[in-house]
Amino acid sequence: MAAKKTSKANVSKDELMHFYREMLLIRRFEEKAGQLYGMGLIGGFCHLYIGQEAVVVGLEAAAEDGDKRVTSYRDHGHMLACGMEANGVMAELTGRSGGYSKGKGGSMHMFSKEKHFYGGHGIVGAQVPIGAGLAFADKYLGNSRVTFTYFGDGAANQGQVYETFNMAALWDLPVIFVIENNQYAMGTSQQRSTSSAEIYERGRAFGIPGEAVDGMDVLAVKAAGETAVAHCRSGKGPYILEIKTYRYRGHSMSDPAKYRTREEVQKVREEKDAIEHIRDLLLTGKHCTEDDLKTIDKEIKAVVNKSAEFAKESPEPALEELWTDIYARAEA
Amino acid sequence: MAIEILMPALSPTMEEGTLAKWLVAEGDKVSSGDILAEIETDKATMEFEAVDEGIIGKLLIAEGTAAIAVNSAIAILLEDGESLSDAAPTATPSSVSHASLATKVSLPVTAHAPKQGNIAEQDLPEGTTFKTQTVREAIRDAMSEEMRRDETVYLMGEEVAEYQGAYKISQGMLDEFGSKRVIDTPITEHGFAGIAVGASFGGLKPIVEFMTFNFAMQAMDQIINSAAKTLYMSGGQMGAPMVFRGPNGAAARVGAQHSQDYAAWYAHIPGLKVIQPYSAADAKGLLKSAIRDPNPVIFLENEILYGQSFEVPDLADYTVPLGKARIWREGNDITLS
Ligand SMILES: Cc1ncc(C[n+]2csc(CCOP(=O)(O)OP(=O)(O)O)c2C)c(N)n1
Ligand SMILES: [Mg+2]
Repeated sequence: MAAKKTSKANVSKDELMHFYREMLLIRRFEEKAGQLYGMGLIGGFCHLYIGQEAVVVGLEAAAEDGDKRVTSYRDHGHMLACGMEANGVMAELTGRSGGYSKGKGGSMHMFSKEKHFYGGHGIVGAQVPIGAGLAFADKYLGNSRVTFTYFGDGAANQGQVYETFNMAALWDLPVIFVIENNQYAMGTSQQRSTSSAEIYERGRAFGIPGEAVDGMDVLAVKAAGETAVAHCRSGKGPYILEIKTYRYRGHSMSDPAKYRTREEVQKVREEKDAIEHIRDLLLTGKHCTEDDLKTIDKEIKAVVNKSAEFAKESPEPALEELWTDIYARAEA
Repeated sequence: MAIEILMPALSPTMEEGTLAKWLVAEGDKVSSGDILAEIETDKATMEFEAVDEGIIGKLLIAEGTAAIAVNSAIAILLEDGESLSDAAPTATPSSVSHASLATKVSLPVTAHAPKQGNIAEQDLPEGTTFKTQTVREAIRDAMSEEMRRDETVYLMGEEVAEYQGAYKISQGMLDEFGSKRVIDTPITEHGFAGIAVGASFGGLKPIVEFMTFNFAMQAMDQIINSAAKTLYMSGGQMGAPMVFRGPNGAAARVGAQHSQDYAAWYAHIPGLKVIQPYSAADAKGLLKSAIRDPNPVIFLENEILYGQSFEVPDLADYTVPLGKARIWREGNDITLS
């Protein structure tokens, strides 16, 4: 993992509070999703984001209104961070009609035009050209939006990633490639799958600048995000952020976790946790008291519990939904 | 021994061509490799080289002559010391000399097939006139008309812009629309298909040309998993209004890897619309409808048909609805459509 965490600098109380809330919301939401899975209310695949919260929360802080994002199946955190409703996300996890995709997408496939969230893709690496295509559209339409295209360390070995790097550089597309390097692709560690130690350096072959970022430090992520956004928005083409992070839970819900030790996970949790980091800054900086944070914890728990209730009560989609939304109707 | 120089077949589907320009004159001495003429095929204008050395005895075909059949004599080459009168008026076929020995491809489809389907059935406005167009021109016109009509429509693919199309479909389009809307891609089917899908999510209406559909195998995942399925997976929130088009199926003598027909494959995918037109009129009307359709459409063309001419309604905006078969010939007992 990268260097020492940002200790304080000029971060305002409001900003720290914001990060704390946002990251905590994702963590509590994911814990609840894990619980609902255990109760059989969520089925199929369910990839939790616990441990990686600082990545998406830091980058969202660098985004402007109208910027776009697209990611893989490990997408719940991205949706919450870009402002999609916990209720709609949780109800999609339980496959209910109140979910973002009317219960037809599930954990891996949600979208929101309003929040500029373009999925939720289940094929490892497929979201990478799609993200570049969103950026292509923005450039074509002449607005100054940028697209955050998230993918994993495992996905970074897909050929289409490099096809996309080539075209994104060739055409100066305003796309930020965010490699969420959580060190594992299912059970395969980066060392066992990836010839380069620093994945972002692969961009050099295409003339794409990039950097490694400590993904357990939300302030460092935000700062790197701002550099990347400024680069893209000024028309200089793509930028790569390789964000070194860690997933605490299994790959999906049924993961025997034989590829790493308990101690390894425990060590990251104890020494690097992104939420604890901000909590420390808030308390040592005397921005707030333990009691203030407890109040926030309570508020977030309430939001998450409400979403779980909503997700249980929302009706299952009608059987007819099996054959709707397969073809769009042409406008008259 | 005088040699007849024959009209060469310069593309797999060429049956005839235009002798655009002679680069030698009668009496010129030529050696093997010298450029004799520029010949315009159905796909491009190409230089035609001498195989044998000798002296140009006679140019049999005037510059600018069109529709010269492949394998017909275009010039007579004399050996040193030989005179034109020595050369027998009918040179023996064993002494043929041209770049590639082409067997004339016979196209059963053109021999019996109707040139104009039951077009009247679509209620064309009274007094509609027709113009004769090749399938190639009809496809180009369909794209150009839609690009004039809608700024968000654009064309991308290998060799579509500067080269004017590998099969000359997009001829002239770069000039008219510029490089922002007629885009040459690297040879990277999976990547550019994915970029086009993303662009369609982002508000554009891409037309993706595959040089042939055989190469779309590389892009299959983006076509099926991303383009076809997103509408369903998003509960109807967003889909991919786009067209994937290009030649499909058998071409002439290009081997197994370049001859696959994908119609049945794509037709099995929920979320895709699949079109395979025959006539130029249908190619034009259906492609225009496909570009306007809010779904991903697979538009399968056929290389052998590109140069075939048909009657096309001469209308400002001629469209043919998707999902309705054209009846070309009614059967007595059964009609296939
Ligand atoms: C093309 C493809 N191959 C394999 C899979 C199965 N699969 C799903 S996730 C995954 C691991 C991906 O790891 P990474 O990109 O590091 O992302 P992470 O899960 O760590 O977020 C694999 C192999 C798939 N979904 N798609
Ligand atoms: Mg990973």
